[in-house]
Amino acid sequence: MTLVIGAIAKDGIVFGSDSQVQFWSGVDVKRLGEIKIFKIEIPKKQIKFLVSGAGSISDIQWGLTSLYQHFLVNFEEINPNDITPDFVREIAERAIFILHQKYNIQRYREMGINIGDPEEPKFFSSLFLVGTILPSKEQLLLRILPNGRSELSENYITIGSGSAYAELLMKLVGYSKEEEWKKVALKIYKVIEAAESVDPNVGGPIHIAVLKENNEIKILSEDEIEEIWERVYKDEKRD
Amino acid sequence: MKREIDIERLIKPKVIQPRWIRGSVFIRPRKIKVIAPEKLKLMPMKEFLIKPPKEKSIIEEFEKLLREIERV
Repeated sequence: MTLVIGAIAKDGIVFGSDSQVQFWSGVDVKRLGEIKIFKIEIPKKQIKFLVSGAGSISDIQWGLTSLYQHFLVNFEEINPNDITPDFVREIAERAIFILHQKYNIQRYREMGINIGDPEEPKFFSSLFLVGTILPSKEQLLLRILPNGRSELSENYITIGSGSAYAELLMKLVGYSKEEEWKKVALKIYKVIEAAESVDPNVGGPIHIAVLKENNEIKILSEDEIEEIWERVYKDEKRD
Repeated sequence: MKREIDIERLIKPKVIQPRWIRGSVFIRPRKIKVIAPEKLKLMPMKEFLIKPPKEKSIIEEFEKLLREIERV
């Protein structure tokens, strides 16, 4: 149960998430303040990724591990300028597919379950959101499905139980990929804030992370969000 | 004379991947290296954490509040 939004801005990529996690501990328990946005860095190639997942913590940990290790191995002997969106997408798909292969397909076979059976259990069922700025300055935003297939977006992607609200709200706040990251960050913040007010599965402090054009990643504090609200948005309204 | 049909050729047509198609470069997709699932080494989540912003200390918060009061 989660809400993560990833969006392309004119000068970066912005991810926002709620921080509520729910787990079974004999009874349903929720915990707030959990970080759901992560980074993957390939220092030698000066390429960074923002990654987030919707699903169990175990799936997300394996997803991050597989993505990191596949990026590392495949970028080893490559000239950074040869890293294309298609190449990155293919690596990301393979990284998640092998987990689907291990936890779903192989386990089904061991258990004698036919693939496609409506009763088939889902051992690995998490969605991933990956955003990066390539050395060529191209922005890439991907939603990777649990079976390893991916969808490319040219504007924004929402994942998690609050996605339907977020999809509508992103339209209502007038998101545009031509805007600066500060404005996009503020809009994502407001969308998650609104979704939290109606969706019981979305809650806790909101985290916003930005991957800037200079390849710097930062998480915005509540103060910084407030500052953007004061300086960027309210000033504009006064004008 | 009737020309014999090369059945072998019909069954197994020789397919040549063109490197050039009508003047444009045909780029062969780069081969992806795939790690076997059992060879993946599970990494702790802290390896992927983004350094959180420095939270303001209580003193800083207090000073900010004092400045606000003075301004009013």
